[in-house]
Amino acid sequence: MSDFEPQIVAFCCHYCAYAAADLAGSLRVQYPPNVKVVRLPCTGKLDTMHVLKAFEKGADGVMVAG
Amino acid sequence: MIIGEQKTLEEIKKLVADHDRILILGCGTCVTVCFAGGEKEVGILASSLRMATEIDNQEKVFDEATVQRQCEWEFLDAVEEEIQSHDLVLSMACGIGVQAIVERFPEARVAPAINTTFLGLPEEHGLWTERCAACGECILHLTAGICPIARCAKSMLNGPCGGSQGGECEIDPEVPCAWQLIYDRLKAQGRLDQMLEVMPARDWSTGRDGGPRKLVREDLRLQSQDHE
Amino acid sequence: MAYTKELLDQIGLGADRLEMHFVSSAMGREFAQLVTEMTGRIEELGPSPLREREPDQ
Repeated sequence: MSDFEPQIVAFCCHYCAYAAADLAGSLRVQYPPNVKVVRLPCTGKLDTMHVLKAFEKGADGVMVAG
Repeated sequence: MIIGEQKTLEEIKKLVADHDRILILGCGTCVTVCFAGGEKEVGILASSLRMATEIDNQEKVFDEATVQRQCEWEFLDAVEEEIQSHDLVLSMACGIGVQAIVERFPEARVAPAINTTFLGLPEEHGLWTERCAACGECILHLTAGICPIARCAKSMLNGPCGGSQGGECEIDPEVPCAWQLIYDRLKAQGRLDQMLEVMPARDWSTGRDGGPRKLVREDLRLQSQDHE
Repeated sequence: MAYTKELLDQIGLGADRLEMHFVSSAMGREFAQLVTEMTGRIEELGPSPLREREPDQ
């Protein structure tokens, strides 16, 4: 189990969490590379279908941030 | 509109258990607007079933399609190939849609993915309530536009009954007494004298009590059908 | 969110695999922190049951 690297999809609001992720980069804050960020115009755009698709394509976890 | 509610995933998994190629067929009319069986719900159900069956170590194909109206053969004909090439059609339409497929394609196996609940309207987001019982003889002009057949638990024509308490029906405090609503509305409009009009017992044969119903409009029938 | 979580439970994936957080644009450090925590929690849950049979993905 030690070689298990979780695939996480993070749905982020363009104006909030996506900017925060950008800032984390500028600040040189380290965070795990297994997180794939998907930028949305607003997390209100997120639909159940998007979350299910992420899991269907093999994600181990989904994070919504906004 | 017709209101429907999706069956649980557990129930639906049982419906598809003996089949390998399943077409999930949505309907673009009533069940789309009440979020029970439109294109979006078809997508969510298909994705859920794909994952659930894979977790259960089964191999099944779930294809998706949605027609404008499942209760009209013309729309079903557009997806005939899809219907014929699957061993089960999981219909997300109301009971009428399910039966329309069966009548049009006698060899097709069809299962309902939703329960048809009632004829009603969305009172607010996520809340639907019954408004019409399709009784076949409308009396809304006599009851201030509020239907006692659909909204009174006893379908009383002369109410309220003794079970009306503080504006609520005795069956459930969440259910308003239809006759209280009628009284309040008549009062607000200064038409309380209408309450004194006694409605005679009616002929219920126009409703379900008269057996399955049929409507014929000679003016709309095609010539060829006149001589059947 | 509640609906989707319930759906994930019914599918057999588990509601724990989905999380929602409030992050403002000024919360760079907090974002990194949340992502690290989430990675930890998913590591504990193990791979998605859908992924176990797809080793090359």
